[in-house]
Amino acid sequence: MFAKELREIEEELTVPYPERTQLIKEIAGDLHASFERLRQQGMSHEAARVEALRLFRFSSTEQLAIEVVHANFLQRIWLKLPNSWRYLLEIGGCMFPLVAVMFIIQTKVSMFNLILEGGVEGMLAIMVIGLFMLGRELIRVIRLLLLKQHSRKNLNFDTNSVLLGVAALVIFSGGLSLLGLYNTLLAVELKNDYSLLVIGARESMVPLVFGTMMSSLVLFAHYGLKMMLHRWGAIGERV
Amino acid sequence: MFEPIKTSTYFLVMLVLRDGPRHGYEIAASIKDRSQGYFSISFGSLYPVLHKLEKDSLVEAQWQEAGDVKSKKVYKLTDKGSRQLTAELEQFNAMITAFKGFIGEGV
Repeated sequence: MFAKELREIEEELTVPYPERTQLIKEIAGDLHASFERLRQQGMSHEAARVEALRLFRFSSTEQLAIEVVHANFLQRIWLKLPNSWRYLLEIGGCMFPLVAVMFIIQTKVSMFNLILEGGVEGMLAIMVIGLFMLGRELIRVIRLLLLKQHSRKNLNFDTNSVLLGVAALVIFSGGLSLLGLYNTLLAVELKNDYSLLVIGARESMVPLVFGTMMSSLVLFAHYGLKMMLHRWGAIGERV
Repeated sequence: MFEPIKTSTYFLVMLVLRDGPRHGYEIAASIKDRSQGYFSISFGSLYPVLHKLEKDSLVEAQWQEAGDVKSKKVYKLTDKGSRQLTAELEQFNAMITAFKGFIGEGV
């Protein structure tokens, strides 16, 4: 009976998931009990409905009080920080693992050579696009999993833009690989040296391999996070 | 040594639960009815109190299943909660006796 209103209450709450799902279930039970009691007291169906819903309209102070009870130590500190600090810390928290990954890649000679084999300009473009997309997903992980900031805005996943980005990255990488293959065939034709074919084909594969790897990581982070939030009842179909 | 109960809302909720398990609506209604309307607790104030008491293990909650939307979360005092409430009541009674010395028995 109150499905739409409960959804609105859920969207307004700032309590993190999965606690919010439990709270909404508790509110639903109490809301129905209030409604039934008001009906027993002689109120009309509509009047009892309006009055019961009024009892469950929470002020921002009350919302914060519920949020604080469910916040862990890290979240309590986070709630006290000004917005500008939060933004800087999110960027810092996201950049740290990305820089660490870059550092590790650089120390692994075979990986570094593989990247160089793909042609510096093209590979640099793939890395910049891939790291940007991965960074976006990492910020989401920090916000939603670590800090549990489950506002309506943060829960908007915008999967279409992620899929478009991944598709663009794979197409771009594939294009670079095909271009490499074209140049190899051109070199074979000009020099009449078929041994270039093997080396050229292998090096041409690199952008596609690297672009696909970056895309897989982005998709893994995106859908892994979505699955987790779905399990908590934060997104998808709810009762 | 117990931590003192923080506000009258915590105290009132625990006093209601002394009479047996209740869900949120019953607790709010009981506080209002038994105080003849003097105390009235909104659900926005009640939930943080109940959840904090549950986190501190002073009350425990169980779901009373009754269909998807009518399941109720029923709270009851734990042994730790009962001991703390008894200690608080002793302190409260001592305070009332002390106040009576100032304002007289008949008030």
